[in-house]
Amino acid sequence: MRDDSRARSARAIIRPFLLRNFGLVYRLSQWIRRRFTPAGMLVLGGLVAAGVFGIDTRRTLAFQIFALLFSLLVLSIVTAMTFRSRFRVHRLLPEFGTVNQPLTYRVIVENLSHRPQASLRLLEELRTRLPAYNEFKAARDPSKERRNWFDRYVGYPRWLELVHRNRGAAIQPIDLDVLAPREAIEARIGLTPVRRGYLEFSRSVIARPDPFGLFNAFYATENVQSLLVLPKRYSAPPIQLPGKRAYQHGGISLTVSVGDSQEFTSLRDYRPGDPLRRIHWRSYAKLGQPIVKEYQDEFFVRYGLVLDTFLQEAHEEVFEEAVSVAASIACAGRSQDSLLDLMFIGTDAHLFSSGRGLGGTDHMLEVLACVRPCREKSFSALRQLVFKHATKASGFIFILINWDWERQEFIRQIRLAGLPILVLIVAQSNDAETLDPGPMRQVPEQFCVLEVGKIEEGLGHLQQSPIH
Amino acid sequence: MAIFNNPPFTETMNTSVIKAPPMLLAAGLLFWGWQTDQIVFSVLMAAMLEASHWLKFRWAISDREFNRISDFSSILFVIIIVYLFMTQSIDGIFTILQWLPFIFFLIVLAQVYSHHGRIKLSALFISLRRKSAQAAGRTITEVDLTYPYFVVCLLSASLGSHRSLWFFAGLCFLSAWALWPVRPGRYGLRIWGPMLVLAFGLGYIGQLGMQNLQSAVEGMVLAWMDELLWRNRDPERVTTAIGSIGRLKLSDRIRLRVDAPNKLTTPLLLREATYNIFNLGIWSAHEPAFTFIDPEVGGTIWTLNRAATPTQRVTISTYLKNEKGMVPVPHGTRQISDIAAVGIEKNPYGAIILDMRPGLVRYRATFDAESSYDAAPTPTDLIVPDQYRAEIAQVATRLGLSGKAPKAAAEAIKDFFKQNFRYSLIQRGRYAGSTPLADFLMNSRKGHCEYFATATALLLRAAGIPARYAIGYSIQEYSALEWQYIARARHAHAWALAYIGHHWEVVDTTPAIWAGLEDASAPWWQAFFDLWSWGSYRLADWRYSDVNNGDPTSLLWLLVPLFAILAWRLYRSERVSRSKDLAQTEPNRCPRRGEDSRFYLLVDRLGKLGFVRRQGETLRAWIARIKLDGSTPPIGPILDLHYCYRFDPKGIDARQRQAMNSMVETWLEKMKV
Amino acid sequence: MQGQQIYQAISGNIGKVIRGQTAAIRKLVAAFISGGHVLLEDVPGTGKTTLAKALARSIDAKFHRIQFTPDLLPTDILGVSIFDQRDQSFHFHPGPVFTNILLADEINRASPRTQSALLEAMSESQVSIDGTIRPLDEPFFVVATQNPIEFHGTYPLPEAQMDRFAMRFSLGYVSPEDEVAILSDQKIAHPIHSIMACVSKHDVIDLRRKVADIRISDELKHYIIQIIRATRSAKGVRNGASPRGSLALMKTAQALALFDGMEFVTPDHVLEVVIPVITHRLVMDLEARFSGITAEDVIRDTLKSVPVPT
Repeated sequence: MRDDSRARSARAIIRPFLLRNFGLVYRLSQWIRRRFTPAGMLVLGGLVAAGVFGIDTRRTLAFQIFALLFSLLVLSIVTAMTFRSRFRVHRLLPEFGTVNQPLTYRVIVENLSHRPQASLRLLEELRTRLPAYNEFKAARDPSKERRNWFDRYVGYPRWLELVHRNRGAAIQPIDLDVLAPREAIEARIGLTPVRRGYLEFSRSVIARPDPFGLFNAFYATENVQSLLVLPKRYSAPPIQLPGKRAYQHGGISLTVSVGDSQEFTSLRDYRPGDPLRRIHWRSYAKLGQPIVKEYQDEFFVRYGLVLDTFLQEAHEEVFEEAVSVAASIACAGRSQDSLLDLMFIGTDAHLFSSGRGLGGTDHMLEVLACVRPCREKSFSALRQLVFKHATKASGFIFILINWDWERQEFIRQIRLAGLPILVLIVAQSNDAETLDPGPMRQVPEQFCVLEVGKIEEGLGHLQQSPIH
Repeated sequence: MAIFNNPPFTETMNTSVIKAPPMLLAAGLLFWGWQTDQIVFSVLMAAMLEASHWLKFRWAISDREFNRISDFSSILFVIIIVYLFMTQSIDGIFTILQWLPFIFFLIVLAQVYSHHGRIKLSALFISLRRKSAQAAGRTITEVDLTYPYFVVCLLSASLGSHRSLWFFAGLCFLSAWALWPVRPGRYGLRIWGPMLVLAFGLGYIGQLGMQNLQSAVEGMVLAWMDELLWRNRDPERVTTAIGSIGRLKLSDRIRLRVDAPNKLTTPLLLREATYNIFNLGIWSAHEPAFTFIDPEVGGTIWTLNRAATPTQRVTISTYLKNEKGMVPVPHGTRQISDIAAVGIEKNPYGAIILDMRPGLVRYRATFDAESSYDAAPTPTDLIVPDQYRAEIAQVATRLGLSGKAPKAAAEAIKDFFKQNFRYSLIQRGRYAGSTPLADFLMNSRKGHCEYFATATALLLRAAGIPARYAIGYSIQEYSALEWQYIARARHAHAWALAYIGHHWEVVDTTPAIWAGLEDASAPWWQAFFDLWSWGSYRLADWRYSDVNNGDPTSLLWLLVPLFAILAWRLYRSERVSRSKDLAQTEPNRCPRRGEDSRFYLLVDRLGKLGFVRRQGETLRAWIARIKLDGSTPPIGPILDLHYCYRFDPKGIDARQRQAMNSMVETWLEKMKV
Repeated sequence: MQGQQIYQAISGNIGKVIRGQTAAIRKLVAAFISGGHVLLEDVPGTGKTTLAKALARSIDAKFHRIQFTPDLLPTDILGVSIFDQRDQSFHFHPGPVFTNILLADEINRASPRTQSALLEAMSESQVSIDGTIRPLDEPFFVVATQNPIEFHGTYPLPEAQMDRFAMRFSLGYVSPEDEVAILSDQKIAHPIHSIMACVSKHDVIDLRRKVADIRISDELKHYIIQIIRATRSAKGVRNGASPRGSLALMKTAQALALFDGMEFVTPDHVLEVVIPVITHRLVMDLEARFSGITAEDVIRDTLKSVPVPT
């Protein structure tokens, strides 16, 4: 025990120091990788090796290799400074991307100089924020088992992983073809986002290697844009909860505005007892007899999709999968007449409705792309939100990332209210087996545990169990 | 607009995926074999590797097998390192490095003969191996080991035992061969060639420079050590050990500047200190007390002796490290003038200490070389120490010194050294170990000035002539740049003084060519250092000019580099360049009706002139885009007829057809390539 | 008057009112003359109503405007039969659809039932109410508008229904000089009020018939079909363009050729209108949309891959 605490305190001192150095090491390695072509990196490696072995010029001839490689590199770097051409780069980004789905976008590169340009490469840069110490400490390494002891302690691969996630995607450089003077060409660039949220593009860099092909000369232009990456979606079956369609007072226009008008179907003769406000005055004027408007009553289904954002002991990846499940359900087929209300607690209580002419799935997916775990509030805030809307809803779908006592209590109360519900728990594989249905024991078909890594299967099982 | 596809994710990106051209590896291996005397093996290995270009069979080598081969090579490497380290220590490292091509041969062979032709990076690094990185967005990096193997061969070759210029020549040749396929397509031989030759030239100069740099650094380190350890500890030069001058000989730094009104026919000797006791390799002085000299009225003239013989004058400039320091003066100095010193001290042996301020000092010495005002000889000036008595006596007997008159004896000693002894350079880069005087006198018969001076002094003493040992500088080098004589550190000299005929005479038996020999071994970039030294001298002169007016024109020289920078920046500004024609491609042809339209000849001609129609672009849009200037005949009417011919189901009649053809002909006439 | 002259008169007239939109005016008139309908997808305030009105006034045709609201009923569009007590019979009161030029503003705000009523009328050129078929006046041209920004309270036209529109394009904002000119024009009064008819309705009907006389070679027909077929097999497309699309493309290209005073269609005419005519007919996969593949991308790629007749 004492050794452990000593080790921990030692780590507490060493880690911040290491963190600063990681930044330096990372930036240096990125600079080398971008500025030097593969051949250039080989020459650089050879230079370093020759320098080490050629220290004593009397012993070996390695210093001659050093001198030659050094002059090659110096000439390369010097000629690379003569890259005076100007370009304009215009990006045409699509509306959305999806996590782990490759997407392509077009880039138009215009040559603003008087000379034709060849052997160019285009490097697109995404804004990369280096992780702070807290983030680094809290982050878990997904491929922890792969690393050896040293890597695990020092944590550089973990740090790299964080950097990669913050950036959001890795864009490979592409080769451009010959550009005539004042000409513009179009190129296609592919990238695969690794996390949801916004990808921030910062600069576009045109690189041209020197005559030896060792060092790249850069022309960088500011090109700030952002692209929204939607969460990963699985194919979910259409959700149908048992229960009735509640009468929704307000008809279609409830979905389009706040108001009281109802669907007007036809005219008919006045019958004694009809309310006066239903008289259609224009017809009355024409025909001289009271004519009354007929209304159609509206019934439709309204589900609440409740997302648990309270990430306490759970892992980040559980939360991400929960968001993906919510997105899958939002995209799943629905009967034309149903509404879906997404509820979750972020900085405030949020509720978004979609369906039936209410903005559609796009907006809900956008919202889900930006949802963050809530660390300030407690679970009771979610409980309040749900109870507030319990009267209007026909049913609830709960996506929970934890199955502790508080949540079980909450579910029990909801069940007491008599509403049909579907409870989905997203958990790690080792926790999944030990989950006790608790208050849902009587209706096991409405209780589903989705294991991280096997979500698609789990959602597929929902389809098979008939819910009537 | 043209479109160029980059598939969103390819398996192989980055790193060295260029394959070495055929026979390059063989050349590298043979080069290595030649340099490390492993010709037989290298020929075998080269043959095996290059045969892959002719033999068609390939093995299907899986990732696991690659991993195993890589592990085997690594283990072999480690075993060999351990073995060699234990048997040969540090040298073992170099042997291992010579054998690197052997160690990695197996894995390169495996790659060359595999179906895939490339190796995954995970084969080489264990950390990348477990559960391959197939997380989304990661590319699987593959490498081609041929080029890195080539570089390894070159590195190993450099560790071989041959040392000749052929290595560099071979290196250049192989580099050119290796770099040619790597160059970007836009550069042809016209640019690449001269640049490569320039790189080779710079590399050659660089490697020469590196060799010289090492010697110079070693020399400098020794000289500075000497300065730190010896000179500063002994500001009054109470003692001097044999070898300390020798160490100075390693440095080319300019120490003194002497402005003599007339050209010097013989080297002028400036003396710093004199000694008369020699023991165990160290000369020391007996009671070298310093006394102050009072200046004349005005404070800038110090008189040491008021004799009235004809004199010469020289102006000496030197640097004082501290406020007080010993300065060299010619033999027989009467007066030191033109200096605003705080005080000047002298000692009976003729040494002068200047008390002024650190930095550049300049003084004029008025002297009469014939007469020297050193103190009269004392019995100490006749002592020959016990250690050398035997050898000195032997030589003295041989020369018959005891029977000769002092002058004749001195001549005999001079002849003796002249005929039998040679001057030997202090080897740069090697610490001058002290040779015993006896060895110098009896066996080797070659050394540098200290040995000559010491032996001379002792022999003179053996002949009964009082003799002393003096150290200082020999002024003989005239600098055209500075218009005065300069003395470098390596002009430091030692000589003997003999008391003949009631005055002290200089007896310098060091062969006169010593300065020439030293000069010859100077590095070629000495001139740059001299320039720099002269620059700082002028600057210091201007700074410290208290007596003489500093020369303002010297500052103008500082502006030269500024002008150079200005000129360079002006030159770098935009230049008008001519546009080059683009490469051409064949225009797209898919004719249906009107396939034989003459308009296509026009399209061809435009293609030859460098205008290419893009995919998805109609003819009209293309003509509008390329913006032909007014000198070309109009294409519009021809295009209209062509369109009619091609796309009008009614077609065109013969007359219109003829008109179109003739317009095309006219156009082609006017627009020759 | 010749076709080209008529076109130039109309577009010049409209150009007096709408500044800086020559390309859009050309497309609009081409759709009009080729017998199709137009969907304008644009932000508010760019002059869609003015455009339709100006067209109507230039050709001396009737103009009606329907503002679509969520509670709009099909009868509000088509018309309603009302029982007259005095005659003991039903009288038909025609709805706003009985006109020459109809501006259906914010068509995405009405319920799908109302939308389909209009779309039926558009495709059939006739209205059937209470068993009687009433033909619509010729020429009949619908300019429908959609606001692409507002989502709340809308029923965006499903892509399957979009096929009924010959063209979809947007006006967009104009250059700064033109915007300044707009302010100058409208300082005192809206120029639309001072616009006069420059051609008669008969000329327009004639012109419509002349479109069919414009020749098109087999090669270009093949080219059009190749493009259409390529869109059906493109990646990310669930439903490609239908034969209705190829028909619309051909007719619009013919109209453009007529405007240019030519008697046959050239590839430039086809390429000029491919994107407005075909893009809205493609039904994209949901996944494709969220992966950033748009219909316009697909069309552009198709145009690169199918070789243009030269």
